[in-house]
Amino acid sequence: MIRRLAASGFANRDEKTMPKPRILWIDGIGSFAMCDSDEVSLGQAFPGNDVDLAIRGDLSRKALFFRRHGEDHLVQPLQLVKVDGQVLDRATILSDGNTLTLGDRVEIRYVRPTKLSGTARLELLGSQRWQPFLTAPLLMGESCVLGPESNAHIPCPYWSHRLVLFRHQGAWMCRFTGNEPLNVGGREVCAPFPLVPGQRIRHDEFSMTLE
Amino acid sequence: MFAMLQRQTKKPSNPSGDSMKFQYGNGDQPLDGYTIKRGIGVGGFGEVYFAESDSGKEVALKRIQKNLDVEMRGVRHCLNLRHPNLVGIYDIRFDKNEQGWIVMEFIEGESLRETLDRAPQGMSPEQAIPLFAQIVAGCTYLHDSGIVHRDLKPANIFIENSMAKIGDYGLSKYISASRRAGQTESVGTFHYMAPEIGKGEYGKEIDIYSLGIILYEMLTGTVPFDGESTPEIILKHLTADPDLSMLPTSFAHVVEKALAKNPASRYRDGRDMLADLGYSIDPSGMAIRTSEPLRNIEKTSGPIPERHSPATVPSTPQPRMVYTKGGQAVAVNKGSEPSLVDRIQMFFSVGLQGHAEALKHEPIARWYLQVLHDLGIRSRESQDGAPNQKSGWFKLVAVIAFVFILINSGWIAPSLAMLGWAYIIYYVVWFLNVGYSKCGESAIPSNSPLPRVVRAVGTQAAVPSGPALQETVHFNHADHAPRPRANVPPRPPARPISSKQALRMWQQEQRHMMSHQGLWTRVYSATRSMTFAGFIVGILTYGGGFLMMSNGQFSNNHWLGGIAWLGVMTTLMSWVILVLSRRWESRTEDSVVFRFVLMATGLALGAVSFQVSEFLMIPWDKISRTETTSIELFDEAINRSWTGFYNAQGVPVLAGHMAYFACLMGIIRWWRQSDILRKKRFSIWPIVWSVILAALVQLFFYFPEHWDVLLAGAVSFVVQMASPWQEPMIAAVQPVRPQETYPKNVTGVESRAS
Repeated sequence: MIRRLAASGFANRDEKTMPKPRILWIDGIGSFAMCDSDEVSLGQAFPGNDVDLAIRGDLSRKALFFRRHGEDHLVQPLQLVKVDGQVLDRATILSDGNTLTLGDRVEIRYVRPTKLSGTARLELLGSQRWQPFLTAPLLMGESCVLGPESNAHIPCPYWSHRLVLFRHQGAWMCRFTGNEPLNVGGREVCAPFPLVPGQRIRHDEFSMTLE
Repeated sequence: MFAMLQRQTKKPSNPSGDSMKFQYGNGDQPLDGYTIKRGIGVGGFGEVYFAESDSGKEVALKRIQKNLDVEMRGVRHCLNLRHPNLVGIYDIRFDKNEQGWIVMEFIEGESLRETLDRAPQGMSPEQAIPLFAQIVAGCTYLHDSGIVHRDLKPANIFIENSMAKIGDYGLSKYISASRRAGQTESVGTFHYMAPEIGKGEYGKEIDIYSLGIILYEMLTGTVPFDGESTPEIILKHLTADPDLSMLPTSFAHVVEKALAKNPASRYRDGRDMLADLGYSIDPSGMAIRTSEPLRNIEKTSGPIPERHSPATVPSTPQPRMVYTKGGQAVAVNKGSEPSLVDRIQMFFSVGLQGHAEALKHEPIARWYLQVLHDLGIRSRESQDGAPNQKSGWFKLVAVIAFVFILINSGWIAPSLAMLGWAYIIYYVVWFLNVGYSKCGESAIPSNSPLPRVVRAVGTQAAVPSGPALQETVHFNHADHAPRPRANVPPRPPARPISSKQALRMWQQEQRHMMSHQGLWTRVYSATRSMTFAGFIVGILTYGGGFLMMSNGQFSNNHWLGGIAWLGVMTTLMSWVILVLSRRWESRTEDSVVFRFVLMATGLALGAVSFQVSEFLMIPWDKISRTETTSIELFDEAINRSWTGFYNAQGVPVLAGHMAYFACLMGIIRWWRQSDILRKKRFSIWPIVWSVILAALVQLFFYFPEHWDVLLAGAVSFVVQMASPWQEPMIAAVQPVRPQETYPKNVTGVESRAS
């Protein structure tokens, strides 16, 4: 079901102050952009085009904004955008499984694996690709689960345990559900620890780095 | 290059126990000009990374760790090959430590292995054949260049935007028609390995053989020669004929010829093979369709699943064939639904066998059968095909039910008749709308010429005894471990072990699998158990009342209140235990936490018990024993001496109820009685133990006697009856493979089975 809201709040967005999403590189799994800003812009991959998420495809330089709205996400179209075939003319709350069509050919599926978390995954359905190459961007809520379950935000089928990312005082923290300590930047860590860019996180089963 | 290559190579949980460890991580620059972004996979010859050149070109870097000379020799010969169906190889580089690296094309798609893992019944021919034709075209280009791939398998084939690309030239070796001998190393992956490879004499026919296996797997979802061990599979390659009955006739011929034991009997090259599929290779080397290759397709199967993340489930409905009693096949597709007349005709023509099959899918019948199955009433076929004996308590339930019906036949019989008629009407409507597509293959008479849609894996003909393996093949078994099935944890390798160890291993494995269950699965399981618990309590309560009535005590309303209280509290306690047990069933036992939670819920149950007692105005002093039991440490009974817990008559008030129920919930390990992986479906000993412990609690916190032990016994009975149970498959984890070792985390897990 699509709920529509007024388009207030999008006009004052100051793009220069918005940090670019960082990319979580998970060995053996993929690369995921962590979009933790309240607003995330999406547009065409084009030199000099200042958008948070860029697609190499036939769409506008600035196609739409995603905006956090409580535990939901609003989409504000800036070009012709359809959600499940319906043309959007205002900000709209997305639901799990909604397919966004940007222009004629670019299709994105909005996947929100669990209603218990506001984090959602964007999956490109066509032959286009994210630039830089991503497995999927994540519109981050308050927490994000990496694990073997199919309904994890980042499904990692061959892991035995979960790694939970959660916000704490404005920063992202990691909590590992396994009993073994993790090697974080060369140190053995058991308790929840901050997710620091450039720090390599290693375990017997996996390794990853936030770029 | 290989995006998502991780599954074409070794998996973290592979049978050999290797984990996916990468030496380099994001930001490392082991090779000048390239920055590693992340690891992709770990293959037999080394690690593969996704990297970017300084100018932004995305590439795959393969670090060669083993057999450097073999790998480099093969790659060097492929370095300048260009074909749309081959993964491009850009360069060979060496780092400062003289470590070899292959710079390759980065493929954004997935491997054919992943595609097939999502299509366990195989791909539809309409989607499999065009893809397969591209694979053959790429392979033919290699052959035309004088190169035999030697390791063709789905994991080495990648699909990017519907374009198939053959990758991993690590095992390629230059040969010519005149150099057929002298190959001394065993190569390839044994599921796709031609029988003559073991002899060390082979040519491009081994790739034709591998293509035949791949085609078979694409169409059926399974390889033609599979087995529990490497020698068994190799033996089948050498001696067994593939089961072609799963394939349509036109494709069966192609596979049969490609899998000929004699290399000279196989297709001469890929062009001949493509011609039989209605394809040819154009001057540019691409496969093009020349005729309609898909005539007379009897078999249908699911379409190739849409590429998606593991979180999404393919939802495309699979076309299927429905067979009538007379062997007539009716295609049921999204776009070709049979008309209502056809469905009515099918209703009368599928016969009892067809309806029996359809009933297995009908929701109400499924629920009923599942309940019977959970109860152990419905006889199940054991592994040797002999039906299990019905358990003794089933007879007890049957007698109770019979007596119940006999007594109430005046109103039950008409009610049952009405229910029966309502169900028949419902079934007819359901069949005409949904069920007609469910009466599948079991409706096919055994003498029907039609092929069955689904055939159990491993039904190949018995393998005749062949030559000793050691004399004919020389494989490095460690490098060619059996391919694990998709999404199924590898079965722990085993050696002779005790039954207790086997049970623990089985429980560990099952709990790990259950941890992947979704929320709704657990909710459904708990709800079903709770419903059944309520049903059992109803029967017990009615039976208790019946006994009271027969003893002439039913005229006394005091007892009626007691029985009602017993029924309500048994139900509530059972529900709490069932819900918590479903919550904990995938966890390793943590007795302290579990007991704490149970005690907390016991406090709430005690409060409810008190309220129910007040509501029913139960005179506990009149319906319980007056001579109480207690620890006589002092002059008065200590179990009634708690201030504020009992009134002047010694009847427990709110605090007394709460204290007793908290102790009763905490002292007994109820979760074990309700554990789905408990040793036995039903045992009398947990009931006895529960009663004893309830009496023990009585020594410290008085509760009206007999009702306390009755409650504990009834709850123990009900939770055992209502909890699902999985029969321990201990024998399945005891194959003797002494050369293998245990996974390190198998042992040391506390068993919950009591």
